[in-house]
Amino acid sequence: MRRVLTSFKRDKWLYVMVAPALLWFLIFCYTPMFGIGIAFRRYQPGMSFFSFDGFVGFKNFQNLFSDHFFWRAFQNSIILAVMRIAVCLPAAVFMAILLSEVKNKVFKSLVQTVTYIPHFLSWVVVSVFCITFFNPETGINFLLKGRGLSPITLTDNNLFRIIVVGADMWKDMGFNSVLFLSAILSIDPGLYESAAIDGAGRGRCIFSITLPCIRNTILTVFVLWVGTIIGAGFDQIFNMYNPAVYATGDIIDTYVYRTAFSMGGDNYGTATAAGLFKSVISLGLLLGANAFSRRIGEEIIF
Amino acid sequence: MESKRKWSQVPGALVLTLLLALSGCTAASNSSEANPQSTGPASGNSSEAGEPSTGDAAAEEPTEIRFFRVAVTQDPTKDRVLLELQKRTNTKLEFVTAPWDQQATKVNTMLASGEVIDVISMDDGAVDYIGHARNGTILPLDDYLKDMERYPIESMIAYDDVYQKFLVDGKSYGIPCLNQPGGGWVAGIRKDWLDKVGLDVPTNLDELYEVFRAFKEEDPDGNGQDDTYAMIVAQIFDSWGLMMRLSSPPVTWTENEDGSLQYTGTSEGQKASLRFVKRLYDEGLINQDVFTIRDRDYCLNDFTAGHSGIGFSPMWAKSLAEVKANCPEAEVELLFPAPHDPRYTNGATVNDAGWSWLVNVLPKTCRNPERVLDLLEYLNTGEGRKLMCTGIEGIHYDRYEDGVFYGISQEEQDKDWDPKDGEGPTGHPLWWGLTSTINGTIDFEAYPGDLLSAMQNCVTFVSEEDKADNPFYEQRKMICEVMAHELIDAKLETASTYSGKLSSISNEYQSRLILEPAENFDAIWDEYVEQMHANGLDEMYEEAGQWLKENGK
Amino acid sequence: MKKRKNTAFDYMVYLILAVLGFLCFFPFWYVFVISVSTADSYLADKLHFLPHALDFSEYYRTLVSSGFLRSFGISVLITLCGTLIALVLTIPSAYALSRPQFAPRKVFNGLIMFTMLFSGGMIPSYIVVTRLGLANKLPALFLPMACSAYNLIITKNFMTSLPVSLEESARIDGASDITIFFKIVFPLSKPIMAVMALFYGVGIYNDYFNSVLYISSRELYPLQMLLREMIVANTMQSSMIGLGNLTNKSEIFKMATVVISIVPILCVYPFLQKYFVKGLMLGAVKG
Repeated sequence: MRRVLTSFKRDKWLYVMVAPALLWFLIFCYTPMFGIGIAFRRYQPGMSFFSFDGFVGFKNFQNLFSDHFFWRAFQNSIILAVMRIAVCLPAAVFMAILLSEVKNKVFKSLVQTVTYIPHFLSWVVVSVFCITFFNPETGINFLLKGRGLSPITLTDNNLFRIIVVGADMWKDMGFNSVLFLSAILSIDPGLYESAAIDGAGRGRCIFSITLPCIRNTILTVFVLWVGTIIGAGFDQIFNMYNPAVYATGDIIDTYVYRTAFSMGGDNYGTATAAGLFKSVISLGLLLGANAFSRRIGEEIIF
Repeated sequence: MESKRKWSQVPGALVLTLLLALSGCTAASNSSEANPQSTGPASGNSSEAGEPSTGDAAAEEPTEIRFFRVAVTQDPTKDRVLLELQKRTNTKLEFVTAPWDQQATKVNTMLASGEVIDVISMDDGAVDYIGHARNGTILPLDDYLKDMERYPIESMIAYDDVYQKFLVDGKSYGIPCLNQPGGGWVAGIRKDWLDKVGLDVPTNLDELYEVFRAFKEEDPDGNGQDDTYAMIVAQIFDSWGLMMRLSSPPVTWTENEDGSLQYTGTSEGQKASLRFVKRLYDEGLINQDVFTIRDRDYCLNDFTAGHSGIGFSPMWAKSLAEVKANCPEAEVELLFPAPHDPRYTNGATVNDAGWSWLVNVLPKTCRNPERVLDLLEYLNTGEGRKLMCTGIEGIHYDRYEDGVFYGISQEEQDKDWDPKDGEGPTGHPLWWGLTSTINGTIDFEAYPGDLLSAMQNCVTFVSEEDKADNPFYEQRKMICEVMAHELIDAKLETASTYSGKLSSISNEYQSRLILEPAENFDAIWDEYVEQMHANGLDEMYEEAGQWLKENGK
Repeated sequence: MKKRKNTAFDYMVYLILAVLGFLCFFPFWYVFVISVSTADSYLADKLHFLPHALDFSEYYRTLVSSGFLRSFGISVLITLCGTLIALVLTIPSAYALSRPQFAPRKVFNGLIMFTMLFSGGMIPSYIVVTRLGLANKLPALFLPMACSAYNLIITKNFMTSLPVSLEESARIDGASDITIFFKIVFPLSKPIMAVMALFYGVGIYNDYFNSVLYISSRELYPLQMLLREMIVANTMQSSMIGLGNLTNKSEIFKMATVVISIVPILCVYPFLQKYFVKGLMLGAVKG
């Protein structure tokens, strides 16, 4: 007890600094969390959100798990998440390394401007770009068709996931590289100089100096992505997909959005149950990723 | 220097944040008392109605009314029409609004949160009307509507056979918006193009196919370029999709020849429509981006721009003028369906039989139901309709006589609303939707107890100029003559549970039917029907059958 | 650093970056080409790689359409306010949570991480925000987004990597945590503040869902709401009733609207990038 008091006294300013953020989380994140109880209720319009009227136990989960369209959406979410992490994360690191190797300031700044800008567009706008760009009759598809090649369209189940990840990369690759670039720039230049004296080439330096030095940043981003990526992407998919590619593009959030639309019957409870299920999976993945990063010697979050 | 200045801002901003958060906390604790009331259990009783009316006491003070309607662009403190409306009804209006594609989200959220809102124009297709009624989130109106002197029109609308489906367990929970079938949508075809390619107005699917082919391939606009389509198809699967209704009636339920119940979405007629669309798609006779166009208006836009020969318009009076502006030689003929043709193969659209689209409900949190109903009652009167459709006599127009407005002043209209906001045939942007989507007035007294005839014989408003030279100004009235009837005229509880899933399945499978190779067509169709039955259609069949047994004619 | 001659390695780097830059740029160009076509040139050239006309009339239509400039102003306002508050919430708390001697940091970290995974959903959040009295008020558009677990953790990690030597010597001189934060950590955190300002700012500028929920009068619509209305929201129901915008909304008009919505970003961004890159450099030199 006395130890707590001393700590409190000693660190009073730290408490003051952390207080506003904690208060914010309390108000905007923890208070609404009482609504999670709906996952275990047959919620009907008019019922209070914070009570346990209409408790049905795990029935909503049963509804969900017996629905093969839900499992398909779950599978798509996982596949897209894996693709995103496997492609977008290395791409951002790659970009950051390339940028750090550029000596010409004008060129560097130009490339940065051009590659960062897509990030500032909303998914509404990016989806308009995609839909226009992959129009079956004009632009690039007009060219392809003219050469007798099959067009690239948003209605093609074989291509949809690739287009989604591609659009994600187009939008965020440059911007995601910012974090890594800032990590690279904070590496002690002396390391490179002594490596150069030892005769190491620049390719060699990337692998033995740059990458090891930014490992911590890469792992942090990796763990955070793993934890959130199943829930991510609603805005993008919702704006880009169409009924023809539900089979490969439908993720949990979009599926729930469509099917619980009028919120009659069990729909609200089932939708909340889906959200809770997603959260639990994310928690598992996050803990797994965190354990993994700890095994290779970095403490990231816990 | 710079960093010093920033320092001084930080504590200030910190204090600001804390203050905001604190004021938030107090607000939360204050209103928590109100919460149990608004989200309390459903009792179904209407003790509020039994209390003495506060109408007289409030006669001097304007009654505040918070009104939800989708996509309101008008400001009730500036728009002269709304100011006049508030003056005449002694109210103070505040509009709560949301964009088109998000209205259900907004309404569901408002109703669930229990915030104060006095009346909601609810899209009963997207929001669970029955659920809200049964659970007491919206008020039963019977006790108010008993007062036939005060609410003659509303009590007629609420209980008429046409709107039977809005009665929940025999009670009224909302005043349906008056509407004419199909919202007035009808297809029109370029007669001058038909003449150029030497075809007649199509009357069946084969002839329609010929039109699609000729309009695409034979350069009907005569500019020497391959830039025309018969029709731009967008949002192909929504319930209003013209192409999906070619061989089946526009209703949810029909009867098979043996008298058994048939869900239209899985009927043979629907299959034939899909086959037809697939043929057009495969042969490149319709635009190839049907699945990715989000904007349904694109079809009409392309038509009025003169690039396609078949358009689908809710207001030909306006669309004709637009297409003429781009192509002065344009002549348009409407493609009316033959509604009594059992096979529905006339090649044109049959109109949806819906007599309603929105219903005005009073949520549990409504502060003064009597006065809200007063407002809605006024809006349905001839005076109310004239005001909402065209504006104020002497300002926005000179004189009104038998449906015709003389001397509509564009200049005065532009002062109150943005001419680009797409107002109705006679003017004001709120002409539709508050209580009615008919640009006209209905003589309720002339048809006591017969709302259907009253609506079919409505007086359509028209400007002096349109009356003189526009053949289509009475489009909505014409459509009343050609409509199909809904077999199950009831709101099914199973529909509000399963509709989301069923429409998701049908959209997916129907796009696959069009996109995948023709040899798989039958196999995919069978899988589609099976999935529909497994995911709620069986339950819907059961409830619909039950209803038919009890209420069938 | 000595000036080195460009090697094959350098040319490789330039080439790859040039290609990536072009790929990022090309869709903008494509949309721009469509937006300046005339109706005829749009139909005549199906490739849209090179402009055949320079017709800005659709731009004019968007700009004069009701409320465009007002909505833009609102978006700028909420982005500025929101970013400021977000930084106030994020930076000091990240510092506190990064100090090893701060006893409850693990608990607090856990609590914050938890919110990244679990949320109460839309309607409970709506109840909280409206009960705070924020319904139909602009703070509803940035307060619910003014902090995020993800950004907090990234900032915290940055703070952890700051050198401890300066801080220790200050502590020996008897400086309190708050003095250390303002005198030592704050100046060192400029790069991460630049990054966070962008993260939060972009998030707030691009959000539309909060406006759907909390803003009920059209006067307070931010730009994204208006854009959605012009580009995608005009789905079936608007036209159902024969209202919609029966005025012609062609593909060209949409593309023009998109371009106009990007222009503010294109104007503001180069200035931002200057500070942003400078901040990064500063961090690099001092770190």
